[in-house]
Amino acid sequence: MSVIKVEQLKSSYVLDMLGVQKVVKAVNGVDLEIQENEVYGIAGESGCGKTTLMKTLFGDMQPPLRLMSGKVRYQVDGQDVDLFSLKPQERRKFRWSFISYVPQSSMSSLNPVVKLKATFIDFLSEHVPHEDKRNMIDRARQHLVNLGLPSNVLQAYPHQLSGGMRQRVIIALASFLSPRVMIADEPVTALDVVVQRGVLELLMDVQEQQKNALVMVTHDMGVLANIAHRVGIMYAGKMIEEGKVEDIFDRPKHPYTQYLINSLPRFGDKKMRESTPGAPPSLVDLPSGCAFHPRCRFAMAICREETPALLKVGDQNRVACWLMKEAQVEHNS
Amino acid sequence: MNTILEFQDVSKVFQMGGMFSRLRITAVDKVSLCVGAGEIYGLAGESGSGKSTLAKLILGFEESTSGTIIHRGKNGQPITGKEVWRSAGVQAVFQNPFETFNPLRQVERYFFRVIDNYRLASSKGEALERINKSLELVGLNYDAIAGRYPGEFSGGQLQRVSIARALLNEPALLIADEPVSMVDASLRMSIMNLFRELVDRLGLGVVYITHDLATAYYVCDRIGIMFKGNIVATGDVDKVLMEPKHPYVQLLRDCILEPDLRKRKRTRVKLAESDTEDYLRVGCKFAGRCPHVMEICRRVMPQDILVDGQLVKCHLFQSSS
Repeated sequence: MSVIKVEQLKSSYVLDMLGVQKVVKAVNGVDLEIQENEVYGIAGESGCGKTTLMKTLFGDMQPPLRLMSGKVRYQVDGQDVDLFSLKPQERRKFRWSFISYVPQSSMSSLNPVVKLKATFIDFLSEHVPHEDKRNMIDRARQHLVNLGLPSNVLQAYPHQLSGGMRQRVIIALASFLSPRVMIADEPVTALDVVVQRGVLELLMDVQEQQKNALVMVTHDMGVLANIAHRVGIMYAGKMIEEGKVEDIFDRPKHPYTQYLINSLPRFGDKKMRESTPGAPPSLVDLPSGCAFHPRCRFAMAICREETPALLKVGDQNRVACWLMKEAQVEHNS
Repeated sequence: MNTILEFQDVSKVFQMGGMFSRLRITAVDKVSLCVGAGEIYGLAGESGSGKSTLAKLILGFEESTSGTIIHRGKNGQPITGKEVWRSAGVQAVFQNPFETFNPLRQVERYFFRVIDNYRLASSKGEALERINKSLELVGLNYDAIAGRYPGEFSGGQLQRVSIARALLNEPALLIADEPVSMVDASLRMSIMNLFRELVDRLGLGVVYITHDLATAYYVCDRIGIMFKGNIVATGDVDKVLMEPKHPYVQLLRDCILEPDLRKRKRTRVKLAESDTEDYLRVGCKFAGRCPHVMEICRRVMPQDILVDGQLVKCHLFQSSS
């Protein structure tokens, strides 16, 4: 059963500079289906539209970000909800109860001048109305204890906690209402390796307890290899490959994914690694056809002219590459 | 191999708070190390382990509280104090190339400024030749940067420009402080390979500071693992990372998430609650989290002990030596 369906989603940053309009196509036609109780990882380099996709999924569209076309559908209690047909006020009620968000930098998402208790009360009074303040604190404390965090963090200010602890408090806050979907945008990027593992363990515990879908955005392939069930690779605003984590890591199909996986340094293997040639494209001025063709060693004539669609390859994998198309045709004939 | 940088019992103490504050943090605690020409020395550790302070000490941005730092130029003569700058013994490449360069200034101006400051050329033609030479070392040329502003480059390209600028006066030692953490994943390895190539071709020494042990393993010859101001293990990268002896290095190795499905983690870790406590410990700073902690660890700072070709700062190996 899917919880979120995304159809041909396009969202762009529309900038107006001295009368010249500049459109940054950050999400450029993404189809995506997130299943219940799965960990879905999204990888890609900086500036490929990962975060914008997450913002759009969350329904948080602040100018200059604009939805150009496409749909985001939530499956709330068996009902199909088209997110962007709703008014902004109506959208708000899904936040945190249906879908929640764990941002990257915990310091800038917690109010630095109040104790965490006040942040929790503020949050709860908005989403759980008509409840006694004391009850709320008890519930918050209980929730923290359930997640293995010391309950006295409620008495602390954000700066008194370490980065890892702050991030764990945010995860506690995001999971408080047992949302069906949790979006984590680079949740462990700024942390040390040991702490990183601790925070990931907490995220996995929460996912296991609540059986919700976890959508994890990261550029760290090591993190994805350890926790994801399915992985989607983004490049220049598009999903270019999607599949089970085993297939992505062991049998990558798209040339870009192959470069990405093969360039990862590994322990015990000092073999020379090669980077992808060239540089990532600018989202303002995308190359024609497949956006990867200027860097691709297999580029053909058709790659320059037409954009390949994300087509099914095998059972559960999808790849957007003309090479796959050819392989399929050959296979069928 | 001739040594180009030597640290002898170097310490740096920061005083927290006001004039009468008693809280003193030893960011770098009696560190001794040496870096030779033609090698990449890795310095790895978590944030707050003192690796950036060590870099600042090498560059002369901070003065050490005690101990001696000896630079040696290409001719092997020791250089100290302000001379380090003038004799061009050391240059740096920083983490974020977009912060290294002023966005409102054309990048070529940095090159001409370096040439002016070090009086490397007597005419414009000579200067251009020199700039071209160092840009070619990183796979660029002067035409590719002429008249362009930092914002017009991609992160990987600008980091190359930053390396080329550092190479202008032919330094003996290059300090690279997290040079790839802001570079796109698909371009990261090309920068790593570039460092290797430069070391092999020009015979310079590189201190590569990072928290990413996988890239450190890939590029370094020797490595030092820092923990709260101490280098707890140092030696050949194959020894230190592949056969970790110090409990902290073992913990680190165990926590790295590798991009390999056959190495998924099954066990759990215990996280430390507070940082400052570790700094103020009298004995081994890792005693609070060490699974093999003994009574002596809490009292006495361990010495460097040579175990299997690596220096390890741990009481566990005291008896065996």
